[in-house]
Amino acid sequence: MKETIYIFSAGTLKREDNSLVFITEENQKKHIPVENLKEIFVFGEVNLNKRLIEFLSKKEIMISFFNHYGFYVGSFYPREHYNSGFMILKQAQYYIDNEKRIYIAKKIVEGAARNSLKILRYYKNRGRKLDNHISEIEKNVEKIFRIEEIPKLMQVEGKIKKIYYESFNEIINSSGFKFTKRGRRPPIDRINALISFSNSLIYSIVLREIYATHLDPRIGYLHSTNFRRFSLNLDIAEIFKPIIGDRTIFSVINKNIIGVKDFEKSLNRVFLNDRGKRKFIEILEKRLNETVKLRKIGRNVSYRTLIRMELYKLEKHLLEDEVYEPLIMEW
Amino acid sequence: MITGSIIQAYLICKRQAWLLSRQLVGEQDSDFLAIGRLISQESYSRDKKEITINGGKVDIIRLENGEIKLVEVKKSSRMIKSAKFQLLYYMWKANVDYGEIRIPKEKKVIEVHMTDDARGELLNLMNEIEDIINRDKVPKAERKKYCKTCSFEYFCWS
Repeated sequence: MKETIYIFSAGTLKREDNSLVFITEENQKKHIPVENLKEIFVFGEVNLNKRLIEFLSKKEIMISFFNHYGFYVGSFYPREHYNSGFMILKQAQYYIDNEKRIYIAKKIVEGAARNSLKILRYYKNRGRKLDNHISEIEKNVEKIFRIEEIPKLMQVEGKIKKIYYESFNEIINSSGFKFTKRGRRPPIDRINALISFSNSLIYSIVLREIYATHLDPRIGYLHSTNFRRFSLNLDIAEIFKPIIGDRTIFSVINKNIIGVKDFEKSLNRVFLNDRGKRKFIEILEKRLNETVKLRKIGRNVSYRTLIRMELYKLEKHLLEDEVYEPLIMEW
Repeated sequence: MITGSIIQAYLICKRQAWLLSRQLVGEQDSDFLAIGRLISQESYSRDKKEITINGGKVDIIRLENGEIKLVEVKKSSRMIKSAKFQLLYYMWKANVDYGEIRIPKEKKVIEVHMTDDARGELLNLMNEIEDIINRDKVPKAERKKYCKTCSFEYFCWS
C-alpha cells in the first residue's frame, strides 16, 4: 500500500543520497522512507529546493501545498510517466462533442446525488427526520436525465447540494455545530470549515490517482476545462465526497473526536487549527485504507483503489469498451 | 507498430496487446512488475544489458565464438511460449540466428533457433497481431487465470 505523508511542522525537506529527510526548526532529523511514498501534503512552513523536486519527480511522488487555513494552494505534478497520446485525444474528443460531454457530466452528478441519498437513507433508518430531503433530492435526480446543457445541469446539481447540505443539521447532533448555508470563501461556520477542508484533501487525493492513469487532469467534463488548471479531479471527487469526506465529517463530530476547541476564527472566517486538521486527516486516512469486497475482482480493495478504478472506468468509456456508470455505494 | 512486449502480451491476452499498442501500459507499481525489473537488474550484471533495438529492449547480447547471441531473462517458465516469440522477434529484427531464454530462479537455459519454420510461425503471428491492433475497438475483457497477476487487473475489472 502506497502512502501519503502530511507535514504540519516548520522545517526543511531535503534529499539525502537516495532518501528523504525532514529537519525541524529544532534541528531534529526525521527520515522518510521513500519506497512506499506516493504523495506529500504540506501544511507547515517548509523549505525545499530543486534537488528535492528532481528526486520526487524521479520517484513519482506528488507534493501538494495547503495554506494556513487548509486551502489548496497547488501541487508539483511530476513529469508524466503514463503517457498515451491516444488517450488524451479521446479525452479531448469527448469534451468537444457536447452530447458525449454531457453524458459523462450527468453521470457524475447522478453518482454524487445517489451516494448522498445512500447516506441520508442510512441516517433515516436511524430515526432522523430526512423524508423531505430525500424526496426533494430524488425529484431533482429525475430531472438530470432530461437536461441537455451543462449550465442547466450545474443548476440542478446546485439544488441537490443545497438540499443535501441542509440535511446536515438533522444528521449532526452536537450543539457547537450548526449549518447555516454553504459558504466557501470564507467558510462561515464550523461545518463549512470541515466541508472545505475535506474537499481540498479529496481533490488532491483524486489528482494523485489520476497521475497513476493515462488521463490528463486538465480535461474535466462537469467542471469546465479552463476554469482551473486541473478539473478532472474535481469531477471524480464529486462521487467520493459523500462516501469518503462527508462520512468522515459526521463521524468526527458525532463521536466527539473534533470539538469546538479544534477551530479558530479570524476575520470572519472559521477554520480548523492544526490539531483539528491532524485529527480529521487521521480519520480520513482510516477511511481511505478501509476495504470493501468487490465482486468483479473477488477480493477486498481500499477506498483509494476504488478512486483509481473509477478513473479506469472513465478510460474504458472513452475507449468505447464499457459505458461509464458511476460507483454507487452498495454497502 | 509491433514491439517485443506486444508479441509477448498477445499470446497471453489480445486485449493487453491492443492496449499496449496505444501506449496504454499497466500499473507500474504492481508488485509483479517490480519483481521482474529487479530480476533483470540483478542477474548477469556483468553483461551488456538492455540493448534497444527498434521495437523493444533485449536483456543481454553476447559474442560467443564469433557469433552474436541474444538473451532474454525471465521470472519463471510459466509463459515460455510468449517469451520464445518475443525473443524470436528480436532475433529476426537484429538478424541473429541464435538466442537463449534464461530463468535464473530455476537455473534454466532454453535455446531458441531461427529455423525456417520458426521464421514462418513468427511472421504468421505478426500478421495476426497487426489485424488485432489495427481494429478500432479494444477486444473485450475475458477472465483468465493470468488476470490475477496482471498489471491491468484493476483496469479490466473495474
